[in-house]
Amino acid sequence: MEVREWALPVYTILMQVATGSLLSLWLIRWAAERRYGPALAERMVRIPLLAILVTVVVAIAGSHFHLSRPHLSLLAMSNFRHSWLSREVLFTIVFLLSVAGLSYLYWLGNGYRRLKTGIAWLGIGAGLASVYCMAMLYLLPAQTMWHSPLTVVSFLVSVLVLGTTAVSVMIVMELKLSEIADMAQTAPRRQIISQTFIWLAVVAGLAALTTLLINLILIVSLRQGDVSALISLDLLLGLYRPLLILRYLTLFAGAGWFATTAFLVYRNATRNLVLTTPVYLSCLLVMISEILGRFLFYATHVRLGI
Amino acid sequence: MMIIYFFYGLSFWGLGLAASLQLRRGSDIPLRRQLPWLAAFGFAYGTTGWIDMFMASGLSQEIEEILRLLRMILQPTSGLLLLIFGWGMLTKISPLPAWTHLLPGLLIAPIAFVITYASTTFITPSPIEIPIDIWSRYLLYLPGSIMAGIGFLRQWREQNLAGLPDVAGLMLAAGIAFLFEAFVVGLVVPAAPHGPASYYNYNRVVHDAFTSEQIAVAQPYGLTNWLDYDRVLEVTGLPIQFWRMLSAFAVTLFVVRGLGIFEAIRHRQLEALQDERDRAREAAFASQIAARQTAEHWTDALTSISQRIAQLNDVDDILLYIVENGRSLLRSDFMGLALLDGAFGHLELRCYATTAETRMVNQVTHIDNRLILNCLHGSGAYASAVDDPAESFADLAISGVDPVRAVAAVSLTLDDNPIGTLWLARCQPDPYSDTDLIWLESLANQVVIAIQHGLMTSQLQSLSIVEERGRIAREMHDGLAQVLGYLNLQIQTLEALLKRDKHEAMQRELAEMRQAVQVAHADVRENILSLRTTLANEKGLISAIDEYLNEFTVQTRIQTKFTNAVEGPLALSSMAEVQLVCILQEALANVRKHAQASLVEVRLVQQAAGEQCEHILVEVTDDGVGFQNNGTRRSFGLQTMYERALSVNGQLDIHSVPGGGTAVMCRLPCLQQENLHKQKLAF
Repeated sequence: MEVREWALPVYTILMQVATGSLLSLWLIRWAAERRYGPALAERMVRIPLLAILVTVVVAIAGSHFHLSRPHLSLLAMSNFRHSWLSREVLFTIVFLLSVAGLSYLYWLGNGYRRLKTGIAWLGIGAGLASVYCMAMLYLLPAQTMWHSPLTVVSFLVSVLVLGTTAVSVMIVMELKLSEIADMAQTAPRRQIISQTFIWLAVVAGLAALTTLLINLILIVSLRQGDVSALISLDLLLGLYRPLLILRYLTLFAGAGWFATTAFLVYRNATRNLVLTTPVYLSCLLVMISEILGRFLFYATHVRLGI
Repeated sequence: MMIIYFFYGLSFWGLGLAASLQLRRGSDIPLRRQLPWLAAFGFAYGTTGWIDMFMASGLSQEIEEILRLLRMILQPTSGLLLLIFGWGMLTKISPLPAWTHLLPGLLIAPIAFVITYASTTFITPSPIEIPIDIWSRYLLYLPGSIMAGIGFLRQWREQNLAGLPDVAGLMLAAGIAFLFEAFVVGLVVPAAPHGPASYYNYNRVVHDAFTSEQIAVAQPYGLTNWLDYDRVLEVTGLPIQFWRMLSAFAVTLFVVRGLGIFEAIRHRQLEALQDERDRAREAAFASQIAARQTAEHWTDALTSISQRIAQLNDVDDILLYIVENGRSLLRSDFMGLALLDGAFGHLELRCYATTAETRMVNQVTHIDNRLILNCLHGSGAYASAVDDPAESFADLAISGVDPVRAVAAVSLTLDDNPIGTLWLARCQPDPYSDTDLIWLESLANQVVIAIQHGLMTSQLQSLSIVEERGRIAREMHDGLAQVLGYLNLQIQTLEALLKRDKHEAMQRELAEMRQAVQVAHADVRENILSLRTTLANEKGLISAIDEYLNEFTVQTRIQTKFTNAVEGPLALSSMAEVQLVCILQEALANVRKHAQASLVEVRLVQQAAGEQCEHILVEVTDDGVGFQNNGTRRSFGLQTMYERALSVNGQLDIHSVPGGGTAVMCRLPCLQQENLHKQKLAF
């Protein structure tokens, strides 16, 4: 893979991070609002929303490095009815605007509760649609390895595993800043973390297992496929085997570490356990794993024909 | 090249050694805690340089393989050590701003991409030591050196703010040295077929990174080689190892010198602190001595006041002594004592002391100052503050003292009733402390005790006068009145005898009358002598006894012998001295009246326990007729003698046998012994 092609993993991974984070964040917000009221819930989502916005902006900016004529990128939306790429771009723009609008309302506006909820669900929907379109782009008959529903499932599962671990980082960042600003406000935040991270960890763990399962199914299907499938399989289990092993090692190490941390926090909600190092490093490991997965996805495909 | 590699390794070993030596100096500055990592980095990276030297010298293949393996381990290890050092320098020397806590979270995604990309380069056809070398530099040396550089630059700013410009300058130089090291050690990497090294080493790339296919090496993206080892050699004329060696020297020089000066300044600060501590200790010692001297002065003054009270000195003298010493000890310009006039309730100045004079006030001077009156009527002790208005101190200092700027006053209370006020005044705006108030209250207590003592003494004197009058009345009733009555009867008898003209009988009656008049005359003269014999003169007790005995001999023609076996003055209380004289007078009166003695001997003996006087024994012995002393019935005179001795904790014994004379022995306690007895009674 040429350096220029790394723009694709940057975009796809960061979009998945952003979509999964927004979805997870909104569920955490819902749980926090139920228990501690809207004021604390709204304060808790401000920093994560900014982080998601930055992620989307970087993703979109990164995607332009893949284009030969970046200044014409918006024209890609013109073929919405027939092109998954156009749809992907459109939904990405909608997602960006949703997150930007939501950030604006949370940082600079007061009230608008229903509007915020509507925009948030619009953003989540657009993000998931964007990831779906992103996956559908690769369902090409000429690319045997990609041309499978597993690709779509795999992309959506990545949203979950990346989103749950990334949003945990954002929440811990917000906790850290609130600790610096006002120690009195951290106790309810830690309570929310102890009750929601355990569910995030469960989702991340299940997503990791699903990822492994999808990969096993893919290997089996490639083994029974045509020549290009066999070449892809040969690359995957041959040249890139160390990276494949590394991908799953980091995935399960990250998800496992996150699950252990979430469990410890759940069991010791009243103790101020240090969260930054385990949460940050588990997210780093999961992200490395997913980027490696995306690298392998691109590096092992073999085109049929000319 | 061998020499360059040698000095290249040596420079980093020097860095390690210098850092190790700094460690052994035992300093406790925060920077020192990061030095073990820098030392370990220096040794590990220096060893890597020497491995390069050995590999360039042409060794056997086996040894070269071993060295290559060792290098592959040592290079990331040294990079990791530098990274830890840099992280410590950045985060553990001084606290980071709050916003920096966001950075780790925000950097997760970029770091994940870089690590992932780095991991993909390991499966290229390049020898594995190439990506290890490259990624050790990009991922470990580069961030480690940058963080260390930023850490030193932060120290530069902080030392400037701390007023240590010499240390700050070296911290700046060390920061720049680390940034230079980041460039030459962390950024300039060997040629490789993958980015980012491939961007600036592009014309060295001969293979596709992943397919091993030959690819065009012409400058894609318009880039050319600009930062590889060859370009460094071409532009500077010196190999990259030289610049790395230079960076190691620069880091060693500035870090070690910075630490040294840091240490010296800390040492100077420590010495300054120690000097300050010594000065504080000396000041504390001096203040302790001053406090002790003050306490001694106060103790002396209070003891002296107590002694004067105990010696029944004149109350006015005691009060003058108190105000004079109080003013001096409390460093004041004025001290006054005012007492309530019982009849009208006015507060009248009784006495005062200034720097010029100490005197009693004879004319009536009313004190109307509000502060003093408030103090008298219940507000207790008062000390003025610095910002109290000067008008409130008007009329507080009598006798032309400068305007008063600070005042302290306490009330005098006797049996919970206010009787007056004692106050101090200063002309300087130096307020009185709580300690001053405590001392002033002590003086006030002494004033009250002196006044109380004076009142009791005058009451005792009144009682003594009443008692003496009673005694004289008794004496006149028993003596002179009886004689006069007797003479009246005798005169009537003489008239009757004269009418009957019985001259012989008249002669007998007249002889009896003459005898009765002589006895009465003797009694009167004795009483006059007793009344004249007082202790008020300055001659003292011994002289008074001596004079009395001489007069007694003249009046009664009874010889007296006085022996004083006491060395020095008699250690008797004033009350005991009075009682001793009275007992002696009574004993001699009994000798004259009843003993028919020709000689009376009086002895004063001191009975001591060790070196301390315990009792004074007074013996009055005569050679008269004596009497039968059965101890059951005592005459009025003897009973009075017993009671007088007992009233001053003394003891009286009388030994007499008919025809064998009489001995009266009175044992009176010495002054210290008497005090001890009073204490026992108190318990």
